[in-house]
Amino acid sequence: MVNLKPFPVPLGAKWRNSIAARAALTVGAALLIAGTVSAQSTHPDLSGFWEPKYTGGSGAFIDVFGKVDPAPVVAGLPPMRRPRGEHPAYGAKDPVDGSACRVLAFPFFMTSSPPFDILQRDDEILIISEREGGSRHVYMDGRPHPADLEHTSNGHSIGHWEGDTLVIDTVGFLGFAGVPGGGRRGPNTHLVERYKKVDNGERLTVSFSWEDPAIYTKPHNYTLNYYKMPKDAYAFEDPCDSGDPKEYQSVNGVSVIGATSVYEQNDAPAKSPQAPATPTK
Amino acid sequence: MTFLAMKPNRVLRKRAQSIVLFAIFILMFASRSNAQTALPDLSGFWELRYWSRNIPKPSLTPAAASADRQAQAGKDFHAIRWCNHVGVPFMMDDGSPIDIRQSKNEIAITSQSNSPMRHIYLDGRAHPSADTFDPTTLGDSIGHWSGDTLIVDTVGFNDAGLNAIPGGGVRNENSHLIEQYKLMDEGRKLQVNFTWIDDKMFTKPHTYAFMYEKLPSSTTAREWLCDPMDGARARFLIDPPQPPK
Repeated sequence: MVNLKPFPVPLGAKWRNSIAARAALTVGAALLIAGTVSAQSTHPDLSGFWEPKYTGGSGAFIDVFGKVDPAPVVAGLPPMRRPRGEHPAYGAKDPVDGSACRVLAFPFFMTSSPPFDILQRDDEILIISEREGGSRHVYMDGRPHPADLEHTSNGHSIGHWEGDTLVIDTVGFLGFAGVPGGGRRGPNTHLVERYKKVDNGERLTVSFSWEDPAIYTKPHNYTLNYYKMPKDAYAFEDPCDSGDPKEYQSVNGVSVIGATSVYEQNDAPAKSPQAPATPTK
Repeated sequence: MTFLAMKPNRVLRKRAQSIVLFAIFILMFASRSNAQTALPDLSGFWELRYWSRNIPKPSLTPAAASADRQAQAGKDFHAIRWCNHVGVPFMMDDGSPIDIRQSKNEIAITSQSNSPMRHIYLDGRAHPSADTFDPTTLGDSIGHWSGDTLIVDTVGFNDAGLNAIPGGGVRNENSHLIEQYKLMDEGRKLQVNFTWIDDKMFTKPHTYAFMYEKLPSSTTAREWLCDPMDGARARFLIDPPQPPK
């Protein structure tokens, strides 16, 4: 039988200082560093286009709103919208936000039928909407929320990984807007989202938890599903021209569920101009 | 020192040398791999300065040169008044910084004028078929790296929004845009060359260049809102200039 040990190994300080030990330590350290770097880059890749699936077709929001429990709102919360025609500025010409090409406040685009695109970097994740409302910047570099928050439609988002789950913390919303389940969010609302890929990466579950003592008696929680689109999916552009009389100025009275602009209760314009004007010379 | 005592040390040294050589080989390979994948990162906020535009006069076709400027002015006003998407190329020079975010598969460019985010796909795909792609103000952009220069190819435009091309001519369904992006001055500047190809608009390709300067890394994204129903904004645009109150 062959003895695989060529010689007795001299354990102790002499061996630890030997060339072999130094080499072994070097290689070990290199492997450890490589392992650490590898571990840092092994977060799930959420990149790509994700879409909700509505069994009733585009615009049939039953798959979203029908599966969200009623929000535990505080008693006496006023309705999100004034009855049509009672807006103090617009009167009978109260424009519908979606048809007026106004910025549709978050979280509308997360429940709207167009997909969203996720662009993922180590230091920042973009969640890019096709609808009016801009895109979300989720800062992953460890920064806190700024002390002097500039309130925006999408709020200020910071994120971190908890294992294979992306956790996004958002504050600093501008104005008020509707939330699935009959809830809403306001300037002091705090949202925590948890993103996780399941079904071999084909489905993205996003759990939402809304907190605001002025609106909810307890956190309003629900989970929505998004499905991976083919790799060659590309962004559509959602054109909107409220200055086109044929398309948009004549659709007063058509309600867009959840499409609440940031202006709804935040900044009421004095009067709605009616027709596109020609430039002054 | 006896032969028997020397032999283990020799074996030990040889093994140590082998391990060291192996480690060096691994590190060299890893370094080479990194070098191969270390593409320039264009991410950041970039702004144009007053000297940042090199825009030669284009060679317009007779039809383009005799286009109705008054009609074009009215079209531009409509787009501004009603918050239409401005599109390319206006979003690349709208008076505010652009925000570029780059990942392995995609680059997104945001402007502060009313435009969706621009997507530049880097995953090797081709343009979608013109039979199925609905033309847009941004078009469909695909990119690839040629050394340290990003080449972006865009087709599928329409003529909506603010479609004037710097120097002359307008973006339309026949337009084809090729851009070259290259970091300069150790990453403090970004040169972008724009070349428009459109045989109905130009007698030869029209090329101009922008030199962006990088803003501090502490710069953050702001939200830009345009409300077409904002009466005060509309009155400002429509009425003759009034003394500020």
